[in-house]
Amino acid sequence: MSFSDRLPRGVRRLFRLPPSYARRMRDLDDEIAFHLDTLVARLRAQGLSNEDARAEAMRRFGSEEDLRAYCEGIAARREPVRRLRQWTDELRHDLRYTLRQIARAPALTATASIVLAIGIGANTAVFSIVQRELIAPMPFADGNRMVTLYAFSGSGRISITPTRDLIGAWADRDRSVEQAVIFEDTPFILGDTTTGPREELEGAAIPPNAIPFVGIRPMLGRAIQPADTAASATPVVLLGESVWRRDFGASTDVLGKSVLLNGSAYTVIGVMPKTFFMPFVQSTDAFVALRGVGLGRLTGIAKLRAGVTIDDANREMKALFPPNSELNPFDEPPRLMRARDMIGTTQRQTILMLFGAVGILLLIACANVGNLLLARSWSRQREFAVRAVLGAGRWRIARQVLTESVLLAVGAGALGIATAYVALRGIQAALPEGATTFSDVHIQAPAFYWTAIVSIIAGLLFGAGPAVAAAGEDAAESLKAGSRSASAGSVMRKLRGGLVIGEVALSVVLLTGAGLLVRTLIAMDHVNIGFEPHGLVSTFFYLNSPALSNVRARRAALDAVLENVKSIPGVRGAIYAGNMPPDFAIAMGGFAVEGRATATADSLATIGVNDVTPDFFAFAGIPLQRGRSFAPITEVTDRYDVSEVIINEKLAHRLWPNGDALGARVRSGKGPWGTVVGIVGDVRVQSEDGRGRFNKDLQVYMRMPGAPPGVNLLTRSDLPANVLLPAIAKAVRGASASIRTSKPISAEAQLSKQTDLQRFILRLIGVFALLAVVLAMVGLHGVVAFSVQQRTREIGVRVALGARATDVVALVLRRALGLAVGGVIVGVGTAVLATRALIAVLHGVSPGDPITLGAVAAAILSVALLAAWAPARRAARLDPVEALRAD
Amino acid sequence: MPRDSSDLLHGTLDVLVLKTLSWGPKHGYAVADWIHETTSGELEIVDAALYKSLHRLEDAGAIAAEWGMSDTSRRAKYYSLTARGRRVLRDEAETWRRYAHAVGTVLGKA
Repeated sequence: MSFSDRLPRGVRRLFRLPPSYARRMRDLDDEIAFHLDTLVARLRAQGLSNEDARAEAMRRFGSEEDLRAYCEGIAARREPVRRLRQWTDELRHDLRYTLRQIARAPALTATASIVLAIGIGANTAVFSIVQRELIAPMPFADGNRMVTLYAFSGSGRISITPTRDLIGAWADRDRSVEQAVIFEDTPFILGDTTTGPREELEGAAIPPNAIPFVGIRPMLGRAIQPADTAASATPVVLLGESVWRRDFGASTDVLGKSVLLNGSAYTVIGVMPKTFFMPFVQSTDAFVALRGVGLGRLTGIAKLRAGVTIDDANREMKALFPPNSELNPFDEPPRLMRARDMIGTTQRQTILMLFGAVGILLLIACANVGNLLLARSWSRQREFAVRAVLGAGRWRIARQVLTESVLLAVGAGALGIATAYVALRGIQAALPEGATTFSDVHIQAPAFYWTAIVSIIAGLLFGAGPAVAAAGEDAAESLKAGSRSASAGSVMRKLRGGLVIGEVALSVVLLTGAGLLVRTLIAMDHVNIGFEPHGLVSTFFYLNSPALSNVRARRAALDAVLENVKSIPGVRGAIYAGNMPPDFAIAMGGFAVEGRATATADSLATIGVNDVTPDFFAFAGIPLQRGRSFAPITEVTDRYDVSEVIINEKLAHRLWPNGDALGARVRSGKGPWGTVVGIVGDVRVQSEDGRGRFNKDLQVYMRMPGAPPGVNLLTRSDLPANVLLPAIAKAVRGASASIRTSKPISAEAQLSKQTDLQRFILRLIGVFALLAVVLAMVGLHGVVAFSVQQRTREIGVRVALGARATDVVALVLRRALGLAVGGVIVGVGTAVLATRALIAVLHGVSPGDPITLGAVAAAILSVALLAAWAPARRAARLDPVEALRAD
Repeated sequence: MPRDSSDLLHGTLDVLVLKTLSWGPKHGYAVADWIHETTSGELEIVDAALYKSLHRLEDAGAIAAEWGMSDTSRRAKYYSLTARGRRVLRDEAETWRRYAHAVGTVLGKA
């Protein structure tokens, strides 16, 4: 035998890819067999018998097992690499293929991309919000290590101010924290030395180490230095960003200006960004240097040392300050709480609700796109059949469809990030004024990862259906000309129908949730706030002009103004008061009852105080429940007289749970004693975001002096602001040239401010719910239209046999309604279960509320009918001849 | 560079195989036959060892394998030299000649 030099003719290259392990071993078998057979043939040609030739050949060959073992080693070594290469090759092929598909069906891709972008984008936006507000709410260094000191009493139910000694000792002795900062909550009243509005600010007196503690530097000017805390130093103040913008026009020449805070002059040395010192203070309006002892309550904050957990720290607290000891007179040890746990729970719930809503929206978007792709895979039947026949495994085909879906989803995800960016900007622009939540949410790195993950999961989700459908085709059937496999058709139909039912169900859930929230908001608006806000407006009078320094002159001026104001047409009534409800001034230092030992909780509580005239309660609509209102004052002074006090029901109940508060003598802090002459209803005080740190639920009223240093004019009228304001100004000028007024504030506006944020969030959820319904209806429309197209022949036959247009319409609508009703039933069932999660947030309406559910069901069914209308009409208009000819 | 004895054995066989294939692609049987004829039967190579060498060289990328049709219309695995294989052949052959010359020189001295 001779062998040619070149490759023998007819060599076929069967496989380009590296062989698999199994293939290699089979090849080896073939190779050995070839060799042996060739040798045997030659030996036989030399005259040996078959058996002898075989035996001799085997002998000459040598150890077959050894060779096999050697080759197995090589093959095993090569296998993982080979697998990887094959996988990447297939992936590349799939990607190229997918791009071709996308190019061939741009409309489908565009639609699917938009739908997905909305769903994924909404998720990214809400994720960014959640990340900012819940996961990483503290925008400063080491925010996660920050803790606050709280004292407790009564089994942890009452949180009270720790005493100064306790805080001081804690700062000194606690080894588990470092960088302790002690500061004082201080309300300020801002009044410019020249002129200008009086404003109530919240802020703190801070030590110099507070600024490096949070690591935020002034955006203008300088920080508080140790020199500023000396008793002899000029008092200095750092303004908060919002005050700076609001009252000082964000101008840089505010530095060095002198402002009046609580009656004393302070020099502005700088401006702090609005995130400074949150969440330790309620509002970052102004910060002064802490010097020695003040009136306010002290708070201690610190950072946990590295490696110390909060539980370790609290164990140490228990050891350092046991209950009922000298430093800790309460019956519980003080505790440290992590700053980030101070985020209000209402906020947390609202944000989680948003997340839930947006998650549902994404599911609906996926179902929608899944439906679209299912329809598409129906028309690609032939293509898949050919591939199956050519040897592609079912898993291979399914994998290719999944690659298409994931690629589509990732592309949409990129689009979604852009959408989220736009949406966040829009949200921030539409925020109610003054809301701090959501105000500085940005899309950061984690959001990108989240979007990628969500996109891939979405792609797999909605690709699963089409993948299964594609891979499950009966190949031979599909290849027959003009046929659509009947069994595959009905599977497809069921799948698509199922998806639509799912979409409708989900949108029912979302709409129901939104509806319940709407009803909650409405109910909350009607909660008894304790006074009558309708038409109530307050205007502050600034009475420190020299012309009014004489008490009689001041009284006369006030009386004259009141006369004028009462005669303004449209003004139903007017009085003076210290604060307009639901506002109160704060008195700290607790209260005490004469003849009783004071509970420590009481001695440290804060109370809301208002100084009023005798007819105040009737004017404001606060019910007088027992006793009487104040007796009129007998002499005109500018001093506050607490000989008579009126307290609210809550305080009365707390101090005298069984007895009668009337006639008892009480005092605030170390002030003079007063007699309780009346008990009035509670005024509901609610602060924004539920983060109120000054509790004003306990309310005390005292008599307004005849010539108070500052006063609010309360008016009741239905006049619009642009009429009332000048009228009041005129009335004031007409009576006295020395009274300066501030901008009137309406009680109703104040109240609605509190719910503005909630309303806003509700509107957001409402938008999601609407989007969800739209998507579901589009899905329904698609399925109905498709089914009409599928049944063109059938409809043609019916019409030919005498069916009227209305019969055809009814036929189509029956299918549509069937899907919609199915979805509504599933949706209502799910909603009843799912909305249980909202119990904590709902008010005045129960989760399974039938009215809401009924309304939602009716709405969806009507919209479904609308969605099905167009295909139905098209079906009715079919020319039967054409229809019968159609495929 | 002389290696240990099994290496040497492998190395020798590998060089022979590479050289055999430098004249054109062959299947395993052909390679064995060619070596036998060229050395006039002087070298008796165990077939299993030869195939080990072929597979080793293929794994190393010195030769490439393809299935083709033999003269007798049977499926057979053909091996051919790659560019890398040519380089290896050149280097190993050179090493071998130097080695043989050195050994010869030592043995030649009486």
